[in-house]
Amino acid sequence: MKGLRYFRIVFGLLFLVAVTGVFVDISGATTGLLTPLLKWQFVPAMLGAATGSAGVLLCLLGLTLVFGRVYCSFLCPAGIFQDVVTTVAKLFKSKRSRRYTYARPHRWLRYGLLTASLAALLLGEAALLLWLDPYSNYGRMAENVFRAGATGLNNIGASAFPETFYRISYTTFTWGSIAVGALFLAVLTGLSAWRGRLYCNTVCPVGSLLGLVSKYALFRVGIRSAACTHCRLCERSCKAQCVDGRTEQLDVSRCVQCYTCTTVCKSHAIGLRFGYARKPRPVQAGSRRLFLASAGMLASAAVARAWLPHPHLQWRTKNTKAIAPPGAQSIDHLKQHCTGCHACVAKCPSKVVRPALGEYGLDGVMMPVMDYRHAFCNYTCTECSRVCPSGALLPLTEDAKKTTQIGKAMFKAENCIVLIDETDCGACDEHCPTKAVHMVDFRDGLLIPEVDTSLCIGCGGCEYICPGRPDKAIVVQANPTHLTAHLPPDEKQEAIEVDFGF
Amino acid sequence: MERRNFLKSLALGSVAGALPWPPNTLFAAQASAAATETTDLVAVMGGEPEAMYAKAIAAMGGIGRYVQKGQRVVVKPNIGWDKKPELAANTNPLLVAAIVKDCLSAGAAEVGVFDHTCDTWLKCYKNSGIEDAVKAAGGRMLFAHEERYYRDVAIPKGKRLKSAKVHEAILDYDVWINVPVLKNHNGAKMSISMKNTMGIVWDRGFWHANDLQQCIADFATFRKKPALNIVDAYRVMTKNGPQGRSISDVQLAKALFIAVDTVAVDTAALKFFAQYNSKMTLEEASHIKLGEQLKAGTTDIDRLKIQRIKI
Repeated sequence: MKGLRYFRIVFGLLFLVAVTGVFVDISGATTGLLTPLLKWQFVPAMLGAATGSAGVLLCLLGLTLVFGRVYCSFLCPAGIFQDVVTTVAKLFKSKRSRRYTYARPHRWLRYGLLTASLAALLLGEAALLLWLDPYSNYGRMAENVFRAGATGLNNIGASAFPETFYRISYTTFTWGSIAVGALFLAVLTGLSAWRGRLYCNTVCPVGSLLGLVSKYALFRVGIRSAACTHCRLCERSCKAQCVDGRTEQLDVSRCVQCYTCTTVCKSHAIGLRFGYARKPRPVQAGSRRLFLASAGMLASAAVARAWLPHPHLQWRTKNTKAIAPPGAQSIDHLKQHCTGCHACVAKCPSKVVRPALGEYGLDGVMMPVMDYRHAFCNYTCTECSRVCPSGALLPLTEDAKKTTQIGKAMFKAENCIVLIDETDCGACDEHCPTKAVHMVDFRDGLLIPEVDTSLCIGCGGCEYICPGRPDKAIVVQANPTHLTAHLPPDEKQEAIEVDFGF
Repeated sequence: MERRNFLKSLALGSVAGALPWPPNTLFAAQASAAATETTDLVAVMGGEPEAMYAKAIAAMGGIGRYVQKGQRVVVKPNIGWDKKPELAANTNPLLVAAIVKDCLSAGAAEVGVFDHTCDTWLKCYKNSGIEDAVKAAGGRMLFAHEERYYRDVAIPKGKRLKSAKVHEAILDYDVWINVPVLKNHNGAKMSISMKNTMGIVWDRGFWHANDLQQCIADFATFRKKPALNIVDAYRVMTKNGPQGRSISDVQLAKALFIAVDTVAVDTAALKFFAQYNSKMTLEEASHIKLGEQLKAGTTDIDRLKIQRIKI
């Protein structure tokens, strides 16, 4: 069984490094290679089941039905990260405090949070899942904390080797979001250093759901009574605190398949065994009821989503400045599918996609929002829509992107330099890729901008560059539901024969 | 003509050894060029970018006149937009590569290329074709996307623009060559040499907010002038500039203009452009006239020695 454990450690570490790489690679060189890995995360696969991830979701559930919660030790970056913390923390612990003991399950907390997050999903709000999902939390941690660290290191490199490394501005970060990432990092580190996989077996909705499924797994870790000497070495090594050495019981729903117990047992009493033939032993009465309730909730959530694609939610704030990234379809769609993992934020080349704080209201904190203060959306870029693992941003082709209208530019002449100072400017027209913003005759040879909203895609180039202070003369107003802009007309011109001209 | 006389007197002075000459090789190069120069402006038509450049620089006395052995050279094309070369929003990469190669063959120690781009810089460098062309030619792309790469300079002769943050390479390298692309511009009316220098500056928003035309002219008085202005008019964006919308905005003009005098070369290029759009005049693109008023050069190109070459 040692081989299995080493395989788990090596695979897990590689996977952790790869997923972290998606967020930390500031050069963008590994984007195509690594971002597909994100599709193998459970919550994104579940949220994207209707938009191409159903196969992955079935694979993950199938894997759990065969081997139990292997997802938690092989594929969950937050889980593997906790194992790393646990291992490191051991070095600083006394021999006595290194030992784990069996802990009673917190069923009401586990299944309560699971049910609540699925219920919220049913109401069209991914917001609760956003704060609990281990992958999304890990993403926020990696994007906001680790990428900031990588940027700092890069900038030290840029000072030492100014010709090789280029400087990256810290304005590409949102401080509120760094605080969220850092807080989760602190909580996760603290919990795992203290009691191993405590997060996974109390708060984590994925752990709870897969735990229920794993009760029916084909292979699971179990104790052979005949060989067991009740030495409790297995219990002391179990970071999930799910082995009770005294009663020879193992709570399969909390076992994360780390296989550590199987390597410490001197009498080969505990191991991974084929368990299909045996009746699943419900360790705790009533968990089946909870399972049925949760399964019912999940099924009805799926049905409701299919029947009510846009539940109209009256309490949502209508903020015209909250512009959802291209591919989001609508703010409603975003709020139903986004768990704020910040893969889009990490991969946006212009850093115009930012984590929202209050822009979308309380149920949209940490979801991506367009911020035109420091940047604007590149006309041909579709990066965010392609890296999104959960279908919150649906992939766009370059042609589709060019007509996806996420908002409309609005010109406020009273703030315009041309009107106020009677001098040329045209910065907005200059940055408009579709010529929705174009210059028309004003007076005395001066030109002033005019907006054809049918051509505008809301990229924010005009708003970003407008030199009007304190108020910009052109701002983009959100389309709560994205629309389709007209393709710019192709005004062909004849080839003209010319000479020097002077 | 005043500037040339001034430079001539400086050159003569240095030869006579009457003055302690500061080791500013840039001015020395310009002065010696001015002293022996026979042609003020060269216009070439009808060839590919490299061929037109070869003819033009030969008529100007060869690159060796402007770039000395061991000097570090900056080539400043327009790389403002994330657009392919066919769309003519950026300087032609073949021309940029030809200039880089020529500088290196003249013994330049290093040739750096940059622009303060409008679109995301990495995409601009890549998709303009300029990064690949420059690297293949032996030059180096310089970073210019952050304020840290720029330093404050005074513009004492400027009317509205009294100071600007200029890219460190322009200030620290020995020589710089301005390589704009000729195009329509809905803000400045035309984008040629004078407008292209906006890309060596960080804080451009100030220009837009404080009389764009005057600021462009003011910056033409900046002490460190380009050793040469080479205007790429192989493809010309005749409308919807400076970014353009599609290939329909572009005419295949196959022309190139070269001069030391920034105002003069812009005047010539504007007159060439006016053949596509008769409304375009010196009064329209008023920064050119304003530049002349600040003695940054002359718009009276009829009094210059011009060579016209057709391939």
